[in-house]
Amino acid sequence: MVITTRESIIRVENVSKAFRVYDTKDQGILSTFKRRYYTNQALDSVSFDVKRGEILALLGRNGSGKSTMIKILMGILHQDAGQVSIMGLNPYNDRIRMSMQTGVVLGAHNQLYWNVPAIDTFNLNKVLYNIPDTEFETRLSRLVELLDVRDIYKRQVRVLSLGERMKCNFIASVLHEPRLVLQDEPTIGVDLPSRNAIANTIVEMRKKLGTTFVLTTHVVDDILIADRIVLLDKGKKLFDGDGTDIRKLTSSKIQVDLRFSGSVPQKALRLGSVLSRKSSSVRLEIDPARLKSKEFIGMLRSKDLVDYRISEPGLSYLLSMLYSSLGKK
Amino acid sequence: MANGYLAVFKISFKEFLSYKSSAALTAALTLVYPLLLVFVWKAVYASTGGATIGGLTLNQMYVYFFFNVVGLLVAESFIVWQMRDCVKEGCLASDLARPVAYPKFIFATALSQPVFNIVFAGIPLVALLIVATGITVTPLTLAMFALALCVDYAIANLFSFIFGTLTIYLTDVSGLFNAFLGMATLLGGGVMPLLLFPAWAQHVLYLLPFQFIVFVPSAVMTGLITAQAFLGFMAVGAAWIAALLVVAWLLWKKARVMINAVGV
Repeated sequence: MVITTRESIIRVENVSKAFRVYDTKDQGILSTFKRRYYTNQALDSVSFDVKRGEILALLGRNGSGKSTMIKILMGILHQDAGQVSIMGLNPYNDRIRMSMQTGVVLGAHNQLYWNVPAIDTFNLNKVLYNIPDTEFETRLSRLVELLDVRDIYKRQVRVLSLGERMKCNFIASVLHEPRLVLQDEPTIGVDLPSRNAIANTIVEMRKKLGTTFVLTTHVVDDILIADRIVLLDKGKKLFDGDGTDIRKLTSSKIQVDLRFSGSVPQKALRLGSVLSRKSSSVRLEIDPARLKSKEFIGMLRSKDLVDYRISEPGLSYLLSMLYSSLGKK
Repeated sequence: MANGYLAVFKISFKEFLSYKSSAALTAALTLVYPLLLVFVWKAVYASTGGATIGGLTLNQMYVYFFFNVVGLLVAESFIVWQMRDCVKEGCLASDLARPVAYPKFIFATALSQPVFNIVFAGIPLVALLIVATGITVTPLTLAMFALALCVDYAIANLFSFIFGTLTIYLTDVSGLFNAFLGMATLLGGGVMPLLLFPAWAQHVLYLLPFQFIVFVPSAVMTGLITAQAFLGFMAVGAAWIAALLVVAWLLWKKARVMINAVGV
């Protein structure tokens, strides 16, 4: 049984955050003296809430404000305006109390002690989060097996690969079975089986413990486990809903694959935009209304047509189209 | 939560041990400076022709400068450098994700260096110096010396933390901190004992915190400070620790709001 209740774990109301940043006017060695300062509105009146047991994917292009939001949720940054409540606590003022019930993975930053094995960081977390000995051993051995780190977690962290470190980071973030896990790019460099193992662990923790997850990622496989997507762009919330709803933000076109016995006829190419083409097959993107047109139905009845497939574009394609269109605005 | 900070110290100490050869070599090399001063002070005493300078015999001067090394080993603090690197490279976020108060966390982390220095360099050095210089050491002297080293550690690390916190505003304070270290060494008796300063300057210097980093521990072992005078020194030291704690706390509280995404 999936635990999702109406109890809000995270409440974000009209949160704004701006940073003062600078550009250099040219690239010369003295360019550092010619700075142009401006205000970067990292978050602009963003609101959303996350229910207990929910998996929320916080998406957006680079620089859209995702990491800033995660750091505000962690209590590291203080918002310029708006309110944030995590499990009823103010993350900035009650950071220590809140982090006792929170796990964090920061893909861009190493969270393990660099010159000692990962097991030492796990042992430190055992003390910091008051994990009983037997519980610690049970959880650790299960996670070590699940993420396949039995050969590396007693090895000095600095000799591990990025993916191996990320897996250990993930273990460190969930060993204390927190109520909330915040993950900023948690699967950077992680191989496919381990990425699946992390996804399975997330789903299992949500199911058994009602753990809430908020993750930012650019990996579509990570998004697939999310119940909800919040899409940010230039600090503003553009979308809040599930993966199927995100189609509303795109042109909602349909993909059609056609395979012919001979070469692709010219009339087939006129049905929509050509996404890809081989000698006897073509992938088209067409308006759903055209599916009922005489031309399209006629094409399906053509004796030269060997096979066809009509499908909605995948999330990866939709996001790619969406990000591209946002970039052009 | 005290267990938590002890665990932080333990893992930091273990990390520190991974560079044990380098750290031991650095600690051992701090002896080079007083060894050089042996020749300098020998020449100075020979040129003046007197048996004492500022009330100190040549032997006392040697003892003073060799025990300076112990004070400096305890005062060595990487807090400022760790905070600077964290602000520059962005690891502050990782540290702040832990359920610990950051100032206590960084102090527990930084304790690894003086503990390493004391265990692997300080204690052997003190034993060697006692034998080599033939000074008389009573349990009271050793207790006063240990207490002086605690004050030394607290003041040096509080300054280190204050400068480290300034990196949140300035990104790098290397130049500023190195200038501070130079000033602290001079005004703290690292270049010459405070007794050699003019009387008016001594009055001022005995009220400043820098004396606790080098002068006071050395002066205790050299026999320049009586037990009664020591209490006065400790009162000044305690006042400075309290003042620096308040400054560090206020500064950190203000700087935390200034932390920006680039620096974490």
